[in-house]
Amino acid sequence: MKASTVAVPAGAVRNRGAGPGIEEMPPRRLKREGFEEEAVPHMEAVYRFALRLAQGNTADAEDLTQETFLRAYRAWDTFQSGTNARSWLFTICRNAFLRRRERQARRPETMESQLEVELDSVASEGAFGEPPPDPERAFFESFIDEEVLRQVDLLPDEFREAVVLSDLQGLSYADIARTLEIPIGTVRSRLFRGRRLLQKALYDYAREAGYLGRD
Amino acid sequence: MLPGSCGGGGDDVSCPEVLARLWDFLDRELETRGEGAVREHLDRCQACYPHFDFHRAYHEMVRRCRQESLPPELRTRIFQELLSEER
Repeated sequence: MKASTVAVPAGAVRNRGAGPGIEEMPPRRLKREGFEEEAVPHMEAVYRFALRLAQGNTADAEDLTQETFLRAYRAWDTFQSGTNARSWLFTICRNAFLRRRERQARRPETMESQLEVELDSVASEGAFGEPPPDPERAFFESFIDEEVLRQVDLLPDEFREAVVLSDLQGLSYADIARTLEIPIGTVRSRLFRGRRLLQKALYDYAREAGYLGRD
Repeated sequence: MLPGSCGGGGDDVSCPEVLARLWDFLDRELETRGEGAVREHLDRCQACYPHFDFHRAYHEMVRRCRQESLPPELRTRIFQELLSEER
């Protein structure tokens, strides 16, 4: 049972400092205390995360978002108020995604063993001994957002999750590690490889689309 | 000019070290001292700087990506479902 230290009048919302004051917030509608203030503001972030998990499929993403919030609401007692609700919601969302995929069983679980090999050996990656990457940095400015998201969606699951949580959701390594239930070393490794894959995919796409001109 | 040849040495962090920490640096996951050392190295190393600049450009682009908006109907639907929960 969630502890409530401050008695608030029905319809009012506790002012959490950064948000709107009591006068501006609409009266709280949901029965479970704190959910509307702490969890609901992350609904769009969860939807965006769900979209990337579902590789752009909006119907699946909507279902996932809805399931996430229902599960979160029912499990709200277990959430420690003041901690990172967004990470917590992402974990619920991802678990829902994995369960659905298992049920569908369209493709086998991706083999993770070879991906764990380089936990802390990032420095041994060949790329860092080579001349600067080609093309130059300006090439990144030629993409429109939808193209980038599309390439993100095409990344293998393990890399996509890590890149999305870091580069699209801004989570720290620690929060990513918690959400994905992997060590921080694995987070770094997946980010390194996932970003490199994404950069290469963007480069190939740009070349085929004619952004880079002919060689 | 390839990394490793910038002449940095002594107390300075080396090129391989900087390149190995590049993403930690860009993600602001380095502690203050380490971050300062990397920044100083990048300020004067013509070999490492292009790597940093390239990955920074990538980072800025992806972070600036406008992502999809939450459909209002979805928000309403979720709220209705939560409101109809018993407790």
